[in-house]
Amino acid sequence: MKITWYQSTIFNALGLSACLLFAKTLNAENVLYEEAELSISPIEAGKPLRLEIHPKEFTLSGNRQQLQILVTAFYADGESADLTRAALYKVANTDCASVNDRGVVVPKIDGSTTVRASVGKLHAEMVLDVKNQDKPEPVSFKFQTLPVLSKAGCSMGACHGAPHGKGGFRLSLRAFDPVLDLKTLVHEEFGRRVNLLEPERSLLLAKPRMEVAHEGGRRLRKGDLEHQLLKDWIREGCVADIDASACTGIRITPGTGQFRRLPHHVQQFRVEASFADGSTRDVTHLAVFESSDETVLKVSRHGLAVGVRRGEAAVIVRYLEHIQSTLLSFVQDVSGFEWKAPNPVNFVDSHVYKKLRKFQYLPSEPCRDEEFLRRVYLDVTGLLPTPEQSLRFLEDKQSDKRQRLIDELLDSQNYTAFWSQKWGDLLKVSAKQMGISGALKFHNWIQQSIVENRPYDEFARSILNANGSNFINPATNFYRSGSDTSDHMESTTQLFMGTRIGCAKCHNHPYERWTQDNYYGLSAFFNRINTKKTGRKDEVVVWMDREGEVHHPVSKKVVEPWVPGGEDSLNQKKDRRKAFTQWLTSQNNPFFAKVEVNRIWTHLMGRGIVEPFDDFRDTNPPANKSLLEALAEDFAVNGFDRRRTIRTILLSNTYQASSRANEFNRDDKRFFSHYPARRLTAEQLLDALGDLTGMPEKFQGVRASTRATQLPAPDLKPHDRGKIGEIEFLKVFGMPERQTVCECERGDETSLGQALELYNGKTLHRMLTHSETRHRKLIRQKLSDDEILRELYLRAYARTPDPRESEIAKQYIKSAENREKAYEDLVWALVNKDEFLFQH
Amino acid sequence: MLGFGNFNAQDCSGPTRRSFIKTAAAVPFTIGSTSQVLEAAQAAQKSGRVKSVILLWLWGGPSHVDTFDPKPDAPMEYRGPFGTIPTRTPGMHFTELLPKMAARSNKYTVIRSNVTTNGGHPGAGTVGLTGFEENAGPIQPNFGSIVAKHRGSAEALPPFFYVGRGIPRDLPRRIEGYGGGTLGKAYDPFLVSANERGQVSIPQLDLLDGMSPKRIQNRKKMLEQLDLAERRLDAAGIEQWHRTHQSAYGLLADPAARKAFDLTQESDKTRGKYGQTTFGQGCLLARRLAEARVPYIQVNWSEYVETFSPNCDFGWDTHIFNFELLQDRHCPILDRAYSALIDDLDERGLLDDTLLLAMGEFGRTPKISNRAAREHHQHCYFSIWAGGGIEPGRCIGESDAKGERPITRPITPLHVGTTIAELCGVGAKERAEMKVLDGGSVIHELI
Repeated sequence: MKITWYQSTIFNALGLSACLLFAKTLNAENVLYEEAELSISPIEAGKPLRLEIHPKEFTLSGNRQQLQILVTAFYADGESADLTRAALYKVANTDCASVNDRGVVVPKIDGSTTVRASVGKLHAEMVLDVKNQDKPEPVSFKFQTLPVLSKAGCSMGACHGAPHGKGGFRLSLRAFDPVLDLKTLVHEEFGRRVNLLEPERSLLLAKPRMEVAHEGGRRLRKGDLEHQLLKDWIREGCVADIDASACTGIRITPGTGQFRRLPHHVQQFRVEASFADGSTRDVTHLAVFESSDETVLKVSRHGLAVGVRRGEAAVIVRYLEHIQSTLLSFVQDVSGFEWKAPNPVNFVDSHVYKKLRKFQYLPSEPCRDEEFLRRVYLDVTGLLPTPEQSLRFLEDKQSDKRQRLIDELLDSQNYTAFWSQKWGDLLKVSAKQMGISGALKFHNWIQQSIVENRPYDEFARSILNANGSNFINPATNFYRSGSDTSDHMESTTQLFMGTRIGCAKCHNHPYERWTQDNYYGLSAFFNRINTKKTGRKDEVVVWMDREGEVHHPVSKKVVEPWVPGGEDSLNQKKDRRKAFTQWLTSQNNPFFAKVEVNRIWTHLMGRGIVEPFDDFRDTNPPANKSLLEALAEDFAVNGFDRRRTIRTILLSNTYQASSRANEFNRDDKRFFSHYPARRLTAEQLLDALGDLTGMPEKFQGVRASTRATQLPAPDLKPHDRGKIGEIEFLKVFGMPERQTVCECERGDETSLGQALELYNGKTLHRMLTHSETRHRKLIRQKLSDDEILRELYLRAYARTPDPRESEIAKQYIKSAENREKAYEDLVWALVNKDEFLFQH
Repeated sequence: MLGFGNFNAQDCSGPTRRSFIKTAAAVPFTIGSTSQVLEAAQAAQKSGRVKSVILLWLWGGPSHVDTFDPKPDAPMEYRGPFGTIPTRTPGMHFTELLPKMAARSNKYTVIRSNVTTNGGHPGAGTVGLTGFEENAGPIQPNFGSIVAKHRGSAEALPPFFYVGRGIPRDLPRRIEGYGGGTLGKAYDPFLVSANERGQVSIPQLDLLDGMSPKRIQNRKKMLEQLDLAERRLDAAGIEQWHRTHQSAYGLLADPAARKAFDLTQESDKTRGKYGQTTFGQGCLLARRLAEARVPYIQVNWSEYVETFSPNCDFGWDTHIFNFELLQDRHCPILDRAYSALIDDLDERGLLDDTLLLAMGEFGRTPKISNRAAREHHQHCYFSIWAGGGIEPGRCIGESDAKGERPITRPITPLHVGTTIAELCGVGAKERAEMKVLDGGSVIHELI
């Protein structure tokens, strides 16, 4: 059976749901929705006070131009709705132009007229000029043909826009290379793709019409405007206007921040392109529309956004290499919803609550003391509290005890060690990358900066501007962990700008406005870095060369250093990196502070405000923009103080909310209405097992007391001669090898190997059966079952067992032949409960 | 030799539809009528159709000249002692050591122009299984790990199996490219092996000292009792974790869950067909795993395989006794097991969405060594492709008159891995997002 294109799309989408990166964008890119496929209910006009039409006046010049009209209604309660599809249109001079029911104006003959939109008794009018209709206008290769190929999906990354094309037919990704595309379409393969005599029978049209087998399925229909444009372009002789005046940008109407209250569930968008010669054209019919979250809204190929459920998403519009996005939200009155929340503790809560209230989600109640205790220990120190620590907190009756605990933990050595490990992950601190001594020295350097709470801008500068021996200035190890200019630049932008710019190395970035020029402009800062080994083992010296330029791979020209929005000359004679870091760490850099506060937020809240947290782009909007901005501003004006930001978040009700959902927030996964429970990381889990059983894991190459959450590097053991089938606990549970700067390397996926490790793994088995394991020691101390249970429960869950739990456990132990073995089973069961494996 | 299949593609984009039709028209009797050609072109919808991959990994480097790419007209110091036999693919001959496979060549397609970049076992093993050298940056994931990640891993069985440890005796260490690489150890293979009597061992499922299925059941029961409703968590992914936990429990405590591994479910006749060898029984196990829809199964020509003398086996690494071993052991074992496997897959209708691939990490020197054997040869070897949408019955690529180097487009491990990925639905975009198989392209000749 042949898989249709839609089925295969669905299949791909499902298969990819496990793939964290870009999964949503992928769905969006592959789907070209006809409006009939979307569930659009009849539009209820209600009783608007007034109507507005956009644009107020417009000139359609040339017979291939069109105009998308927008009609907006305003209501007494202050709300507004898009009625473009509900309005009736009347053109005063019907010879001049016509309007279809999508609100699209098509010109006929020259003249001037008005277009009137009516809803009930209300009207709104616009003035329309129609010109140059008698002058035939050839199809523009650059501004019509290529956009159509992009809109139909032909040149997208999964199809002919792939690096090697598909089926021997390659187009540049989203038409970024018109010259090559012209050659491919018209000349390659002896010109067999276009048929000038019978344009309609061109392979270029017959394949997407599925008249000739096409792996990509049906992409065009005979009646479509897209089909018409391609056919006309071929009929006119495949003329190329490569030198036509460039398109300088696009503008979307309505702009960002719109919201609609269901049942108003649609919004038409209009896209206008401006050109270097000063002209503007409506390109709504040529633009590609995508949604950043299809569970919230979908966009038809005509630019109609259709709300699926309450929430917000970006509508992403692409025309040629220009990408713009605009945020649209749908709110809904939930029956029985009544806002109630504790008083905000600080600005975190204010921003979160504002969002929750808008979308009618209710925050969960505050978590219990024992939940807070376990949660905050794990987040700040990576370790479980001891029974003494737990009891001290639980029995404390003061109202400020949570705040005091937070401050105490942020001052502890375990905080330093655990948060150093997080930075170690990002900076790829590993023996493989920098030798054992290099790794240890770099780790100590990071620790020192956490102990001192070194301002984050200074921290970044000392890493990026590092020179000299990696033994004397360990920060230079950063440049040891990359192999070339591209590596250094890509690591830097991902770490400090939250930008995955790698795609732009070979072509303009498919989801973002980064171009190939930008890529090489940024690379120019890092091109002169040079390294050399010395005679001492693992020692490397890093310095800047006096010269060396980056050349653009296509034009071969020298590329000057460039930063987004930068105007001054950045080409410093001495060390180009200085100019970059000065720009990067300035107060108003759009990325720097946001990326770091978002990273801290993600560590504490399990999910980024921008998610994935190091993937900042317009097409991946933050869940709560004002929250992100407020945190970033607080961070920047207070000297980039990381500990302050951690503390602010920990103190908030938002952080201290229960992980249990309530009736009014169960389906919220985005706006932080409840604390997202998540599995302990590999290191946290191993330490928790060690603490519960009293058998902490020992590691090679570090002091005996070092815990897994404090390991300087993942590979301090001598070279692993292990065979396949030997299991390393930490690795199975997702400890990263630190080969990339992507936090995504830390696997948080569930695997069968992990479950098998808990059932039948050597690590846990040894901890449970060892003669010195905790429960054996407690038994030897002749403690009662109640006393032992209390100790074990405090260790495992930072709470005492409730009577039912005690009853079940005691029953099991009493009925067993061997008390020690029965306790082994009990501890196993405690470990395998969600309450242990998850942070909640 | 008849030229069909020997496309000399001009660039990475592979043969075009046009060249395909041209070639087909030149040899109408081998390919059938033009309408069949068009059907073949229509069947081009192949990306993502493969549900399971079985890779028969012929560790050690099998001699291509003595097996699938004989050179009977080469000088005496090259061609070796074996005669050649015709196959069912017009113009393609094998040596006489592989009669069963020759009789089934209509079911698979042979590539004779594979090359690799490394001449040692560990290095070439990593290149062969990942597409990249060990020291070229972060260790890249095994092709199986890529497919496993794409398919997700929370099913009742792990997504990526190693059947047999697969480290030849002379390999001092585990190769870097054996598993998850940059995707993480969560995508490492799950090890099982079968001995020549068909007894299967699964180290991760061997219960540790003091454990029994009964005890695991007891523990599970207590866990369920202690899991009081009041303490249940609302968490993303928690249901998936519970399903995974349940699968692990099943595998350890419930014999029915291990059915896929149980070769005693097969008739003696079937087990006999594959041969009473570790490789043969490994192939049978692979078929059962493919039936259970495991996404990726790598059958390793295993450690201590079919020992020539006890504890002295080197896989296909025949620096000594090349001709004797190939004639008496390796080729008969492979011939039998491969033929049984492909027949079995075919009869069960699995060949349509199962990709069966056989290859080693490199070939062996066409020139016979002074030990009367053959040494490592990275510049030319073979791979055999069947099922999963591969157009069968063809021979792609051609080596020179002595079998030293390809004279058509060289096929690299990166091409191989990209093709596997593409057939499994891991397209260019997915690959870019996983940051794997960078720069790879599909072997279009196969499809």
